Amino acid sequence: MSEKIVITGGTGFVGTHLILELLEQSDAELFCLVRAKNTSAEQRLHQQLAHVIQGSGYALELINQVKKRCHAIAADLQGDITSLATSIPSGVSQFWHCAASLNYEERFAAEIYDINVEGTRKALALARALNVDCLNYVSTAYVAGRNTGVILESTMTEVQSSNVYESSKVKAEQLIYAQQDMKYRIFRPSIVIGHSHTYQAINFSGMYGFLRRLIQFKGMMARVQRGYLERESIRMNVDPDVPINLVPVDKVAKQAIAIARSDSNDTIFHLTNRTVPTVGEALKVLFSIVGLPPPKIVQDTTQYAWIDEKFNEKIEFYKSYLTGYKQFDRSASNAALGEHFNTARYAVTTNNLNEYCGWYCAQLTKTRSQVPVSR
Amino acid sequence: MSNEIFVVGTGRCGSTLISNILNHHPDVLSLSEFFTFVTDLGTLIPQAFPAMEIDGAQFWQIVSGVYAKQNIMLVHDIAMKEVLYPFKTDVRFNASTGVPAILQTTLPHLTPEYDALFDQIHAVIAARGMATAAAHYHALFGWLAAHFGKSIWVERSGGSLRVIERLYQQFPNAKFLHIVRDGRDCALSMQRHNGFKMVLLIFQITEILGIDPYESDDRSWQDDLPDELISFLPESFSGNDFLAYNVPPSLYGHYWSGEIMAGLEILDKIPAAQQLTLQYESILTDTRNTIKHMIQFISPDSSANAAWCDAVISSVKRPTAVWKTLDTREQSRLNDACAPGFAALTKRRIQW
Repeated sequence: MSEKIVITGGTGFVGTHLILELLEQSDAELFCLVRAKNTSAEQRLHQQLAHVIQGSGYALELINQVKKRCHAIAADLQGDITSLATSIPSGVSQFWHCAASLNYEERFAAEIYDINVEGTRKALALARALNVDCLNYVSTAYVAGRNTGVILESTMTEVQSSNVYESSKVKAEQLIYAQQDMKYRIFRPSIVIGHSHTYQAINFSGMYGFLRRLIQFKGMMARVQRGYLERESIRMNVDPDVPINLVPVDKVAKQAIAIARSDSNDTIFHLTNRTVPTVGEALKVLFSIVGLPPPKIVQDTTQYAWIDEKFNEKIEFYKSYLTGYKQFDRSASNAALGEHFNTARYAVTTNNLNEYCGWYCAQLTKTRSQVPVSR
Repeated sequence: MSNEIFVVGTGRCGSTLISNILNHHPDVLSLSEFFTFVTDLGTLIPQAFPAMEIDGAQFWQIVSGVYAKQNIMLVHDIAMKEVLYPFKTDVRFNASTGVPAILQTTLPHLTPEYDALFDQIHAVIAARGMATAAAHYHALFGWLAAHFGKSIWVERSGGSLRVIERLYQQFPNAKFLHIVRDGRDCALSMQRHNGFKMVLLIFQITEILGIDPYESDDRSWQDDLPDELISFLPESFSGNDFLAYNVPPSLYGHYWSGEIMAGLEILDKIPAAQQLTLQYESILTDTRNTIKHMIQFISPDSSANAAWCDAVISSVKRPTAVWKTLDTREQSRLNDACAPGFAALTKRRIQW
């Protein structure tokens, strides 16, 4: 009899890739908790997975496996999900909780808390009701908040978060540490970007959100004064020499599955990348791709003009990626993965970062309308 | 010589004074803020100048449109002070019904019988057949001039350098009176003006949403809006938040520079005989000579010029916005922001 696995967030960025890895690497039957929106839960799930299969270089045959082995269960983490235990067959071994809100503006604070913290509480209750062997939770490496230096793969108790998103993920992790009913693993990816070969992404927060804000800011200023930002560099008070930990989504999924299938007794794993650009190099690529000169790095914010202040306000959320040296310890991850995991193919360099960003800019051009400057 | 004149300039360059004093000239029809409102504060400029021929009914829609941005400002009691229509009293149009563009300022500026004039214009325009927008505008302004027994019309809208390219395309024989004022004072004055605040807010929101939220219901990108801008969507607009929203003068300084540089590019294409540039400050310091110079450009053959000068000279008042009242840091930022505009003007030998 095949293994049974429950997954939340199966239409999300990491969730879809985890499902596809599970389909490829096992014969498990997957029960995916999915919100029904304009279409049924099943249609949404299958369409999203087919979209990722086609855009991320998976074998097209996997679409048949999706139809055969991915069962959608209509559910909303903001509603009651514990009662769904009766709709899921018994004998579930693994529960993957990937669903999360990636918003960060204060006006979403209640929703973020509801989905990320209360949603995790409900996921734990459902996992308990299903009597699963292990709960796998997809968190973020940035639960580290403003901590710098070596960030250990250990529980996060006292931490100064940079925003409501980060603090919600800390609280969600704490709920998991506190429960004693089942084994758990917490996976902490860093900044997840598109597929390492095709660059396809389906969620556009993180690096893509920064890039989008840069494009928007350039557009705003073009409405105020044509060509201004092309002539004048934006000033930023960031740490240009610290690494910015960008990790392709397929690496996150493959490593998470490999760790879950290992005999590791560790509980917290950093899913980060070994070869990444520095903040200065990455910013140069991002600014260049939107047609702007590289930012001028300044030592303190007193050197900001008003426009610099405004830009830096708009990207405040991303500051924890751009300031403070964080070295993500990977002892547990590396031990679980062994020596054989090929990391070279996932290296993010300035060259391929340009490709990742170019892919996204092309998507934006196709999907986003633009109002010409009124003259 | 042309009897069609446009007064152009950046926002808060002092051109309102020109409309007001010209309104007393017996030969001049002073059209005030017509293109400000017909373009909904300069955000719908292409729509006000459609490329295809349109009929009278379609042109009337442009001229009498009840536009969203200018009218939400009436609803929330943050109307620009240029609005002359008494929308707060229980009249034909009010904040609830919205006030048609041409009635916001242009017609009340001309006559106390603005509602009746509005109906007369409607009848005139509705009877017109297919024509270019330029032909319709010529006909409208010409009809208004004849109606008031004037031989010249002068249209002036705040910040109209933004629309100068369209005006020159549509009115290639018109004369352009360019009013320039120290960008730092313009910026400070724009900062205190609700219309320019609205424009800069709309720039930001439009760029984030990819649509003009006052013209489209599409909110696909709303999650990208920072909290501080949510209150300026039409569905969640807050007059209090609008008043509290602070944009520093230096951003308006950048805006001023941008408008000057783009505007001068077009002015460079207009024959010298069709344009005159005057510094607002000289109207204040050398009032009689500057006004005389101006009216000679507008209405060289009018016998009424001298008497008109005598009559209006006392209405020239010094404005209150003075950039040197800012603190040192903001002065420095404002200087930097206005530097590109000053450099462009210096090439035309205009300096402060």
